[in-house]
Amino acid sequence: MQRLLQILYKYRTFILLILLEGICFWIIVNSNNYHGAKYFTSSNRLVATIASASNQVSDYFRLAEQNKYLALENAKLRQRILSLSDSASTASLLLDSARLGIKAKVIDNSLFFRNNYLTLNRGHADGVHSGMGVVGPDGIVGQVLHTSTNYSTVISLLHSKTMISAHHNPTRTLCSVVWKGEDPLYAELLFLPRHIPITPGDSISTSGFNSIYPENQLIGIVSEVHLEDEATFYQAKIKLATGFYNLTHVYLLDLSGKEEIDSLNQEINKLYE
Amino acid sequence: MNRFNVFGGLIRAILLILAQVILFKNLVLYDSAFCFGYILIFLMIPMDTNRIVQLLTGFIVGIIIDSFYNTLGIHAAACVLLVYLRIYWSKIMTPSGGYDSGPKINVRTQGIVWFLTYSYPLIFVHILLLFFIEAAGFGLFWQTLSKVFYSSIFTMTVVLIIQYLFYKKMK
Repeated sequence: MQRLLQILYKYRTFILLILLEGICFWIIVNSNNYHGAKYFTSSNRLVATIASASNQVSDYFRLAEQNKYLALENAKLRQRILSLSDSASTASLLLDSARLGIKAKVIDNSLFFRNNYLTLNRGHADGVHSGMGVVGPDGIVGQVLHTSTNYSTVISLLHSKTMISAHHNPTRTLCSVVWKGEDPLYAELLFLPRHIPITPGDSISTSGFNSIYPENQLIGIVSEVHLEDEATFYQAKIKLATGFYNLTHVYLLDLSGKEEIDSLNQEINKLYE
Repeated sequence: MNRFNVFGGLIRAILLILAQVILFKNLVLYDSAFCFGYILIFLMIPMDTNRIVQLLTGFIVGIIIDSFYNTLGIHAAACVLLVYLRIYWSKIMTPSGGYDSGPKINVRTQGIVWFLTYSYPLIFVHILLLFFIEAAGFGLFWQTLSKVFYSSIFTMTVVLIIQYLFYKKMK
């Protein structure tokens, strides 16, 4: 017994190393499912406060650029008002404005990792809850992961778990968008069958089937198309509509039917299990 | 290790963590070179510190950095391994006759050649582990490896700059 203790004592550093690495890998694997993990993300109050303080400084250097973007967005909105003469588009605008719930500011953003996250300055005090979709002025941005009282963490579109139900706009064909981790400007288009005519320049937008984003939010524009002789699906690259490099203002969307749709889908999944 | 050393070490750790999350986190060169200057905390732990304490320091600092990067566990895993390897690496690297200036390590006391051979392999291993856990496998092998290479050089440069800026020449 004493010898055993002696051996344990002799190799205590190594044992502690194994133990700590074990804890680390356990956390890495489980942090997505484990609810307590949210205290160690950027929606934590202390972490978010520091991030937002440093953001205030860096914001100052980007003022001119941001003004330009806001002016552009204004111009686009004005254009839309001009085309509001027919009642059908008025109806769709009303629907959209009901959905544009909460305006938020991006206080932290990463681009170059395999899994990227954003931090927003709105939390559950403002009505944000996990699972909400986030869209920017040009296109979709991501989905809320964790919230605290005043801040929230968002899974960026630039994430290995991203899988967005989309459709190819000219033909309304269903397909999926994923991000392979190579370039923050481009994503891949999957499951678009070969009989559909597709050319660079076609736009890809959300299908509305996953009940995170509303229908017809722009995701990107097709930039490259390949088709192998035996392949069933196209290999296509899309240029993302959202400029993640200079994203500052985003909108959080709350789809009213989301919970009902989700619970219906769960019922279906249960049937097949 | 006296009380003053512990205090100085704590201040250094806090300042470097703050610098990491406010400044270094936003320094990305050409989309592929990242800066992890906080590694300097571990590189400068005095050699005679209790090993258990060293490992725990690595774990805690790692978790704090992870909170800011939203990568829970990844930095911690890399830091713990770095600290463990450093214990043995610093033994191998001991100059004949021991360290002149006691157990403290910095570029002024040890000289730049020694400091580079001491810290570059450690930084490289740390960043290698960091990016490959982050990529969850070897799917993007060459891309990840190039990121590791550029990041380690960038981090090494920043570490050297900090050393030359803040540590006075020994007389």
